[in-house]
Amino acid sequence: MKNKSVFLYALAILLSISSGFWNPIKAQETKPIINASLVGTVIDADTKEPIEGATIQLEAVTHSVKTDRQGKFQFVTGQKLPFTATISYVGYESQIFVFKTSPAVVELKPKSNGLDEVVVVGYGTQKKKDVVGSVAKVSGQALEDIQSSGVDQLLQGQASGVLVSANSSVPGTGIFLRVRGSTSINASNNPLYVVDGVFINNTSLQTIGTGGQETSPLADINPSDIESIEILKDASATAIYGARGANGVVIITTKRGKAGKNNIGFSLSKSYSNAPKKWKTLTAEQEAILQNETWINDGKDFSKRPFRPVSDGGKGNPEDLTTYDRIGLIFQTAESENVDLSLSGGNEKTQYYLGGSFANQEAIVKPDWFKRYNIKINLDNKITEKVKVGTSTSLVRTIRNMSANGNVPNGTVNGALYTPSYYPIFTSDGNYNRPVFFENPLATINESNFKAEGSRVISNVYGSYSILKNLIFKTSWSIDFNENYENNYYNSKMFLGQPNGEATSATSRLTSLINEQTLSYLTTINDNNQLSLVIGNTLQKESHDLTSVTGIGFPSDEFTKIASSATQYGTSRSTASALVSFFGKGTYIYADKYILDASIRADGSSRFGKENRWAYFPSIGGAWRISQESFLADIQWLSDLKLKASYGITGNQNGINDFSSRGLWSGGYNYLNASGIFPSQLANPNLKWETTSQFNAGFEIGFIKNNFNIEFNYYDKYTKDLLLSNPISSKLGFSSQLSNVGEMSNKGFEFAFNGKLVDKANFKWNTNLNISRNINLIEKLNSTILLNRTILKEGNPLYSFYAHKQIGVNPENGEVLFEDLNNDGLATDADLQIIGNAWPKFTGGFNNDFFLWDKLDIKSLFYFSVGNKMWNNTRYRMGHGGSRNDAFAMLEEQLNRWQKPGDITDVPRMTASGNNASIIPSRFMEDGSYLRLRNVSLGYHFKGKVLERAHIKNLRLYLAATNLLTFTKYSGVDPEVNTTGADQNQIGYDQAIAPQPRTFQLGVNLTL
Amino acid sequence: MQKNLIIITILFLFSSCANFLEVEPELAVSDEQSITNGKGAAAALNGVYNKLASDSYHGVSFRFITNLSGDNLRWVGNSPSNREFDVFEVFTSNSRVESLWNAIYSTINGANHIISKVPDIQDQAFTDAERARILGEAYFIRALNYFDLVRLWGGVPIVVKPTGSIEDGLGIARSDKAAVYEQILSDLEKAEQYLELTTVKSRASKGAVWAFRSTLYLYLERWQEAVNNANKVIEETTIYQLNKSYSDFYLSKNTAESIFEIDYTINNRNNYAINWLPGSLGGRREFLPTDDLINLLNNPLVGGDRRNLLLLDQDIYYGNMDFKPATGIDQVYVFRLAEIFLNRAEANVKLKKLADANNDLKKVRARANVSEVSDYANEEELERQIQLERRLEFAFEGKRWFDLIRTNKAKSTLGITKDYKLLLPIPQQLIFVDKEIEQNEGYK
Repeated sequence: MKNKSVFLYALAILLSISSGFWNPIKAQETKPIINASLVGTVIDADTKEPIEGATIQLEAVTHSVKTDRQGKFQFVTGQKLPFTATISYVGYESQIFVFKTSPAVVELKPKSNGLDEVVVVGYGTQKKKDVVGSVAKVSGQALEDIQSSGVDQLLQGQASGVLVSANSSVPGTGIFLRVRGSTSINASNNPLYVVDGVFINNTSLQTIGTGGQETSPLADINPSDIESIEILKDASATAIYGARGANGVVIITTKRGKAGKNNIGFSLSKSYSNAPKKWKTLTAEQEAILQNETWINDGKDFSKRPFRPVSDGGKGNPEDLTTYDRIGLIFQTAESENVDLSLSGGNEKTQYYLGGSFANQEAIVKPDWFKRYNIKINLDNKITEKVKVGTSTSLVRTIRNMSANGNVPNGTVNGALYTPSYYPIFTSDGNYNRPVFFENPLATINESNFKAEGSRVISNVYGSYSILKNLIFKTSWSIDFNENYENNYYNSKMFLGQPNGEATSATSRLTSLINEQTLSYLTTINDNNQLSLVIGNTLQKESHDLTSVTGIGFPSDEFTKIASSATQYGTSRSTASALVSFFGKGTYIYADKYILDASIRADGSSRFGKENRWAYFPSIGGAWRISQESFLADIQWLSDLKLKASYGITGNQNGINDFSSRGLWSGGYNYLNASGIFPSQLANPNLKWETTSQFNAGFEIGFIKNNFNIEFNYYDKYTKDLLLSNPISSKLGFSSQLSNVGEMSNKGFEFAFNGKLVDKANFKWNTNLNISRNINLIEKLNSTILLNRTILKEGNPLYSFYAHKQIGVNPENGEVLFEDLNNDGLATDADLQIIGNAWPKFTGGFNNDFFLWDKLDIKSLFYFSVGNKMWNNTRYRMGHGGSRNDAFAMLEEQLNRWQKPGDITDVPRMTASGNNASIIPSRFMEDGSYLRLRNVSLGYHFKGKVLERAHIKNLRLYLAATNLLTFTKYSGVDPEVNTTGADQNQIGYDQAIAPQPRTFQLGVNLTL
Repeated sequence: MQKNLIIITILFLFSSCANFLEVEPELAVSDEQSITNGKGAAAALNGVYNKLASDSYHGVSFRFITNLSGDNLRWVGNSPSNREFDVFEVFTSNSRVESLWNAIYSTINGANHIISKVPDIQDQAFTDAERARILGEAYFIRALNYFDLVRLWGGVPIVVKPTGSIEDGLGIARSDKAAVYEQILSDLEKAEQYLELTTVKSRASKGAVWAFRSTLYLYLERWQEAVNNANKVIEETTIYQLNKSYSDFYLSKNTAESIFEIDYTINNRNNYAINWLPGSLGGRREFLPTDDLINLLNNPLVGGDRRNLLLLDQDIYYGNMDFKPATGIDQVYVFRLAEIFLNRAEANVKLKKLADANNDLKKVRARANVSEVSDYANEEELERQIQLERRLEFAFEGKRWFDLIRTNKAKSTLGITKDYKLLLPIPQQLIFVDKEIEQNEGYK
C-alpha cells in the first residue's frame, strides 16, 4: 500500500509538471468571445502577466465582475463610454480607472511596500503591519546581478543591523557576519541559518589548512533560488529559536511554484574580475640601499656590508641588481560563469519549482577556483482539501581547487609579497628559488594539486493536516548532510613536499537530522479580535566524523595517491550532540491597533550536565498602531505609524565542543606506537547556556500611501554566563576550562528608510538607506586574553588592538618614541595599551534603483563602514626597518625612514637592534573606514511583438560591476580583508591577503 | 492514515525524549574510567610520555628556548617572540614560554594521576613488576619536569596530587628552589626503587635515574654524589658505552651511548627539524650556528668530528643532526654517556682529582677525533676545557645555557647585564589568573 501511494504521488507530480509546461500556451490560443460594450484585460504592471480574479467595480452600480484566467473581463451595461471603475485585487494597489475605449488594458501595481506584505517569521508568516519584532526582509531580487558565491556576502548593505565583511578574495570562503554585534567569545557569533525550515549547519568542513581561511558552507546555497531572506533581530522574533537565537536568525526561503503561473526561467552571465589594488614593494636597488644602511647604522664594518661588489664576496652593488617582480605573477583576470535554469508553476493542487544551476568562479590570485552544481526541487501537493505534502530539497556538489591562499609561509601571497625582489625566481639550474622562508609563488601556482569535493543535501519533507478549518497539524522531517572530501599532494618541487612528496586525503562529514511538529491555530474571533497560536517540538541530532590519512615519500612526482607512498599515518575523529525543544507562540491583535506577541521555547542540550540541560527562553512584545486611532485618521499623509517594544531571552550553545561539561581522558596520546590516554579536559558539571536578554524599542512610519517608510530601532542586548575557555591556574595541568564567566553587552540603533522618490510611468526611482550603529563592550571578564595584536579585556570592546603607542621618531637620532605609561624611561610590557578597535562606528547601505521608459533599469548599492580600525600587519612585516633585512621584502613606505638628524618622519632609523627593531609600534594601526560602490548594474528589457509571439515574458540584458569604486584612506590593498578568518575573535587584521575582486559581469535573464 | 501518523509521531516523541539527550563521547572516557586496571595504567603512562614529547615541551619548545638562550645558536627567523630568547628580552606575554610552562604542568598532572592511582589498582593480570615499572617511570618523569621548571623559572609551585577540580589548586604558591630540588631528589629516590636496568633507552630506567642524579648534583654542587652516580652509570658497560663515532648518536635511535632519549614515530612526530634546515630541504632555517661556534667546530684542535654538525647551503652554515622534516622523528637526547663522563670530570676537578678528570675529558675528545688530546695540570684551565668540551659535544642539545648559569659564566659570556634575565618570566596569563603565584623579580 505504501508503495502504491508513493507511486501515485510521484505520478501526480509528473503529471502536474508536464501539464504546467503546456498550459499557458494552450490557454492563449483560445480567445474569448467578446459580445458586450466594455471589455478589457487586467495585468500586473511589472510582469505584464494577466491577473486572474481581479474585481472590476463600476461606479454607481452595485454589481461587479471578476477577471478570468487570461485576466480578461467583460461587462454588459447600458452606460456609455467613458466609464469609471475601481479595479482591485489582493496584494495589489486598488486603482480607479476611466475607460475611454474598449477593449482596454488596466495595469495593477503590486503592493510592494504595502502593509499587507507578508514577512516570514519563526514558524509562520505575518503581515508586515502586525509584526512586533524587528525583522529585516531582503527580497531575492535585491541580490541579483551581484557577483558572489555566498548568500552571506550578498547581504552586505542590504539590511540594517547586519554587519558583513569578506575575509578573503577566494570564492567560497568565509564571511564575517554579525547581527546586532557579537555576544560571545568562545561560542559562535554566527546567526542561526534556517533554509526552508531546516536548521542548516554552518561549520566549515575543511580539514587541510590553507592558512587562516576556511571554506564556507553557505556557499552551497544557490542565490538564484532564493525568494527572500528575513533577518530576525530582536528577542520577540528570535526567542522562538531559543538556545540558538542569541545571534539573530537568518531565514532563507527559496522559490516555490505558484498556481497558474508557469514560468521557464533562464539566466546566463559571464564575468571578469581583477585586483583593484596591489602591493608596492621596493626595487632590488632600494632594498639593497636600505640593508646597507642598516649595516652601517649598526656600526658594522662598511667593507663587509651585504651589498658590495660580487668580486668582494658581496651580493653585488645596489645599482647592479636586477629586480624580479613576483607580485605580478600571482594575479590573474579571473573568469566566472553562471547558468541558471528554473521551471516553476503548477495548478491548484500541485505547485513545483525545479531549478538547476552551475557556477564557476576563479579567484583573482592563482590557482584557486570554485565550482558549484546545484539542483533544487520544491514541491507542494494538496492530496485532499485537508492534507498537504511537499518537499524542499537542494542537492549540491561543489568542487574547489585550493592552495595555501591564506597567511602561511608556504602560501602564494606570502611567497610573492615577502620575498625580497633581488632574488631571482628560478635558481641557476632552473629550479624554483626559495631564498628565504617563503615558498616560491610559482611553485604554489604550478605544482599545487589540491581539490576539495563537497556534497550536500539539504532536504525537508513535510505533511500537514487541517484538523479543523483553523487548526493545522504539520510534521516535517529534515536532513542536512554535508561531506567534504579533500585530496592534496605536495610534490617534491614544493616546500611542503620535501624531500619526496606528501599527500593527504581527508573526509569530513556532518549530518543533522531534524524532526519537527507544529500545531497552529488561527482565528478571527470577531472583527476586533484576532488570535493566532503555534505550539510545537523539535528533535535534532548532529554528528560530525572525520578521517584523514597522510602519506609521505613518493617514488616520483607522477605518483600522487597515498597508496604509492612509503609511509602512511592517519587519524579520525567523531563527535555528536542532540537537542530537544518544545515551543509555543501566540499573537493577539485587538482592533487592528494593539498587538501583543509572546513566545517561549524550552531547549534541552546533550552538551551540558544533567542539572543544567534544560533552559527556557521567553519573550514578550507589543505594538501600537497609532495611525489606526481615530485622532490620527485625519492626517492624510500619514499612512502608518507603529510603536513597538519587546523584551526576551535567547541562548547560545553553538560552536562549543559537544562534550564540554565533562572531565575527559582522551585517546590518541600515544608513545612509540603504543596507545596512550591523557586527561584532556577538566570537568565542569555546572556548564550551561549563554543567555542574552534583549530589549528592543522602535517605530515604523509610512508616508503618502506608504510610498515612504522609515523604521527605527534601539536595542540593548546583554549576554551573561559567557561560554568562555576561561584561563585557570596552569599549575593544575590545565590552562583553561570552559565555564560560564564573563558578560558582554551590545547596544545600538538601526535606521532604515525606503521610498519611491519618483513614481512616474517613464521614470521610477526607489531608494533605500540603512544605517546601523553597534556598541560592543566586554562587561565582565576575569582575565585578559591576548591574541596576536588583539586583546580581550574587561571594560573594552571585542576586537581591540593592543600595542605600544608610537608618539613619534626622535628627529635627533631616529629612535622610535613610545608613550611611557609608567614613566620608567623604558619601553616594557607595562607600556602596552589599547590603541583602538575594529568595530565600525557606523555601517550601512545606500541602494538606488531607477527604471526608465519601462525598459531600462539602473541599480546601485553603496556600502559604507565608518570608524573601524585596521591592524595592517602587512606593513608591520614589511615596514619595520632593519629587523626585516633579507627576510622580508619592504614596502615603499620604508623609504621615508629617518636618515639624518633633523629628519621629521614616523619611520624610525634603519637598525636591526633596539626598540626600532623589536617593539611593535602603533603606527601600523590605521583607519579602515571606506565607502564602496558594492554593485552597479544597467539592464535593458526587450519589448515588442516578436517577443510576445515567441512567448517570451521577459528578456533582459545587463551589465554589472561589483566593487567598482572604493573610497578609503586605508593604505593597504583593501580595508575589507581579514587574515584571521578562522578565528572569530580577531577581525580587521590585514596580513598578506589579496583585495576583494573588482568584477564586470555581462548577463541575460529570460523568462518564458 | 494521517491520524495514525500523528499518533505514531506523538508516541515516538514521548518514548524517545528521555534517551535522546544521552550522547556519549566515542573518543574519550571519564576520569573514573581512566586508570582502573593495568592496561589503563600503561596507557596513561604512554600519555605522560606523549606530553613530555609534545612540541610544546621537549619536542620543540624546550630545545628551542634552551638552544637560543645559549651562545651556540642565533635566531634569524622573523617571529619577534622567538627572537626574544636570543637577545634576552623575554616578555611576560611570550607565547612559547606560556605553552612550555603549561605543557610541563600538564605532564606533571598526568604523572600525578599515575602516582596516586596505580598503587590501588585491583587487577589480577597486573603484575607487581609492571606496577613498579609504571610507577617508577612516572616518578622519573615528574622529577624531570620539576628539574626543567626549576632551571628555567627558579622556585615553582609544587603540585603532587592529581587535579580533579579547580579548587585543588588552592593554597599552592611557589616554593623556593631548594624545596623543588628536594622534591626532585625524593622522586628520583622512588624511581630508583621501582625501576630496573634496561637496554631500552626511550623509557626511564634505573640507569637514567643515576645519570639524572649525576647531573643534578652538579647543580647542587654535591660533587662526590655526582661522581658516585656517574660511576654507577659508567660501570654498566654492557648497557652504556660511547659510540664508535661521534655522529652515531643522532644517526640512529637507542644507541649504546644513549641513557634516556625521547623517541618519535611517524604517527607521533615533532616539528623541530624545520627550524634548522634551509628552504631547499623543506626547512625555514631560522636557527643559525653562531660564528663563534662555527670557528670552534671547524677547528680540528677542539672540534674534531663534530664539524659534521655543520653543513653548507648557499654559503651559509646550518646545523645538522640528520634532521628529518618529512617524518618528524628527530629524537631528544636527555642523557647520553658522554655527558656522564664530563659530569664526572667536572666534579672530580672540584674534588681535586685532576687526573681522573683529565682521563674522562680525553675519552670524550678522543672519540670525537680531536687532533690533539692533552692533559691539563691547571685546575682552572681544566675546568675551562671541560666546559668548552661540553659546549661542543652537546652543541645543539640545549645544555649550554644551563651550564653557563650553573658555572656563573652566563652574564660574562653572553653579555647579560641583569641577573633576572637568567630566569624566564612566569607566564603573564598565570599571574593574571592565580593570585597565589608571584612573578619573578625583574619581570614584575
